[in-house]
Amino acid sequence: MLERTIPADEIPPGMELRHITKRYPENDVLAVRDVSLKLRSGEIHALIGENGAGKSTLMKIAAGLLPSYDGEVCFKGAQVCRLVQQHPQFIPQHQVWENLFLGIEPRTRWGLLDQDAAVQSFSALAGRYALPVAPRMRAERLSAAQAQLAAILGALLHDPDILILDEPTAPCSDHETALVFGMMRSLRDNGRAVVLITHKLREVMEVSDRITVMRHGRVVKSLLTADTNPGELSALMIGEDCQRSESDRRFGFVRREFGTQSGSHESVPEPVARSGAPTPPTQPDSPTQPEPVFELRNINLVRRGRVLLERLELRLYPGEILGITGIRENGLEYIEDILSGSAEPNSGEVLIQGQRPSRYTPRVFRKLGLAYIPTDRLIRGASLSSSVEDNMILLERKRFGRAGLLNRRASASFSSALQQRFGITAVLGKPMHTLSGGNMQKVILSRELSQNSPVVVFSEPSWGLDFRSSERVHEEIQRLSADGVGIVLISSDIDEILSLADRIMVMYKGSFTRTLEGNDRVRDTIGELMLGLEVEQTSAAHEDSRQSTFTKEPRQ
Amino acid sequence: MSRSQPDSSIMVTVAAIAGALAVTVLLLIAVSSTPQAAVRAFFIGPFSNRFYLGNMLNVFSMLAITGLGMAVAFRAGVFNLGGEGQVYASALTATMTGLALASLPAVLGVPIALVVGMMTGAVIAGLSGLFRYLWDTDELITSFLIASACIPIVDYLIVGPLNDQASNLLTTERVPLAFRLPRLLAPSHLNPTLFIALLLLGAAYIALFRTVRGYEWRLSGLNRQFARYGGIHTGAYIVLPMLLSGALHGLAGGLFVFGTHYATLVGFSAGLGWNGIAVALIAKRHPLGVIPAAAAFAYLESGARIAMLHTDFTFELGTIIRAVIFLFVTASVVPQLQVGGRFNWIAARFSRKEQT
Repeated sequence: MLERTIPADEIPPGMELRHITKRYPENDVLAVRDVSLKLRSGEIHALIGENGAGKSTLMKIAAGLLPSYDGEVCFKGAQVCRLVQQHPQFIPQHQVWENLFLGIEPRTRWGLLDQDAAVQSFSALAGRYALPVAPRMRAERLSAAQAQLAAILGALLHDPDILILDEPTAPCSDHETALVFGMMRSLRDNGRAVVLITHKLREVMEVSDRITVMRHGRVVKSLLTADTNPGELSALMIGEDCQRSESDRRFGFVRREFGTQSGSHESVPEPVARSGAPTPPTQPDSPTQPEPVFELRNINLVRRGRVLLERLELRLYPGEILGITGIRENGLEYIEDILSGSAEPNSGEVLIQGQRPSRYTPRVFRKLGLAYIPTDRLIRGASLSSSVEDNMILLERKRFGRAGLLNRRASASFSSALQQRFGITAVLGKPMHTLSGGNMQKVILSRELSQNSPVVVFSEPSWGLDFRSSERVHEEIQRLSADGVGIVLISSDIDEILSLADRIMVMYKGSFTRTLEGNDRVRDTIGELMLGLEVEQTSAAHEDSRQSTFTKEPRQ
Repeated sequence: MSRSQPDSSIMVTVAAIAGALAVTVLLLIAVSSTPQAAVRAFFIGPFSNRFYLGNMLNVFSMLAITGLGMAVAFRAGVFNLGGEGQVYASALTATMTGLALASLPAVLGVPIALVVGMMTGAVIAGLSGLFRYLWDTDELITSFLIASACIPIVDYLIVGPLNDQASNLLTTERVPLAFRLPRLLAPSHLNPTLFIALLLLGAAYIALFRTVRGYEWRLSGLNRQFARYGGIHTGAYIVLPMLLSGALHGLAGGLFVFGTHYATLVGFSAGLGWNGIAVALIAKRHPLGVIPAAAAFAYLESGARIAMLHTDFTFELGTIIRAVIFLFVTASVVPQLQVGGRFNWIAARFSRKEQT
């Protein structure tokens, strides 16, 4: 083990990549072009760049997951390098530990599987790195964030010298992100090399020691975190010297100027000052207010004896962006299902434009005027093996029917119109799974927004998107709101909620704690509400009745 | 997307069939005392005269219909594992209807009997679809169990109450002469079923790939969650495909009676249902793919039968060869179903628990 006192330059590199070039022959894409990179032990190295910059490909090569490439991967002696991929895959019916010990199962003297040893060593590891994952939980019941933590623990089981994390915090709330960072720092302090692939600059600044920026398969620059700032990094990532000014900043990123907006720095959407949208209603019951377009009345959801949602009340007005946030596992996914008609509440009412749905199915909700961009884009939001066009026409399919026959010419022109409007880089006839994450989300957006629905539910709309794509999504949300569309924005990303939402409702353990409006929308307050601090203070909650998997200590 | 693209996986299937044939030849050479004659009978036999050619085409038409019956269910992501029993039971109801309506003109009697057969199959298979829709029982299991239960019942009826007293065979009475479909290549069994089968394949292709309903049908099979999310009534696309699949098997049963055997014999449907599954898999669940798949199956089947008649090629050897072919072909086809990786239609089955 190396001591942290050794000056960084003298630490022998954990791994060195020399002149790596990778071409994907199937689509003739040069993903990585002549990249050389040192991954030093005792260092957290952030690899940043937009989607498709080649970060993941390069790290797959480092981890030995891609067999054919040009160049050299060098390391001293026998080193273990593990990569935690972006969407970890598990055998859904198996327990967490069974998934993670696959291939490295501990055995008893008799050569039988030693379950206890496996579970124990897993729990010890989880305890050491303070990553709360229950070893005996069935993998299919893991939330996205828990799955991510489990996958990280799976990599740690191999005691890697080099640990590469590909967008580990995409599904994580602030709390889980802090846990992951703690784990990374602890690894670093033990002399391991840690690589963080991400495009969240705030995280990079917070946790990394060294940053490498990639663009179009090349390394643009490698620098020490202490010597740089988010402005410089985003300029390097985008590769254009955009003008920067304080009012352009959102999320610590530089806001790109789009043609029509250039020159009007003052009008950059700060949600409060946004023009065009009606003022957010402060007193919903006042007679001058418009009717709500979407309403939840006393919604309760119970499954298998567990109360998942409790007494939810919500009113959404035209032109309003209503943010719902919280730590995952506190009911965000269930309220998404309630709002979209995917699950039927045990009691309570949903009203869409004043009408009660006859049944709780997405079909009925859509008829009443709802559009919905789901969290789960890969299964719920898209049919990956269907063509892009088939994905786009889902909601308009009836319109293209002529005596039952599908009019392909009409559907093709509809799709290419959408493609142009949303700037989607795709071949319409190719299967959906050939698209990048950003383009996939654009396809989903284009489809949902083509309906001109008066209510749109967005759930985690910018998960896993690079910032250009998420900017695009955010602009689209603001445009809709300016057009008078009522928007529910479910997001565990506080920054996203803060920058977009007029009102913010914070969920904690299946209930709304408080609604924050106007100047109350403060990061720290939201953070505390997410962790249930206020609830616990006021209600002196019984600690023993809690089942949550996260700690309740106040942060910072 | 209007067609499944030809890709390397088709080559894999072709290679598998070629491999199966190679093993067959080796077996023939090893076992037969007159290997040359056996090989010739096996490969050239089916084309050597009108009788063999006609019979091969007849087997083709039957397999095409049952294969299509499976393919349409697979396309919607549901499994009908009861084809065998559905063919058999519908054959009996069609026969009985034909006998009961003997006084009617054939243009009326035969279609009515065929419709009764189709309804029989549709009910047997549709039950499984309904059960899954109502209670989320696995239609793969229930369709197998229900149809398997039908087989001994039909056996009993043929041997018992519905037996043809005039003959010593385990068979029902034969349908009236006027009801029998004309022979196309006498003395072979070939009859207009061939055209009906081709017509059905074309119609199914258009229905699946060129209509709005077909779009919904396929989408429900590819990703049921997505289909439901998009407002498609996914419950309907569990019951309807099972009904249609059962109806096609019922039609196959009825046509087998009126075109080939003129009566329901004990166990006469042997393999039609099961081989239909294999045909649908080789065809990659595509209606037009059913044509080469059923043709290949019919050819191998006929080859084995002819080799058996003409040489010391034994019945058991014929069975072994069929098994070898089946093994090679399924081994090449089944992994392809998972080539899509995480999101193929089999995976979709495992994630479907939440929605119906």
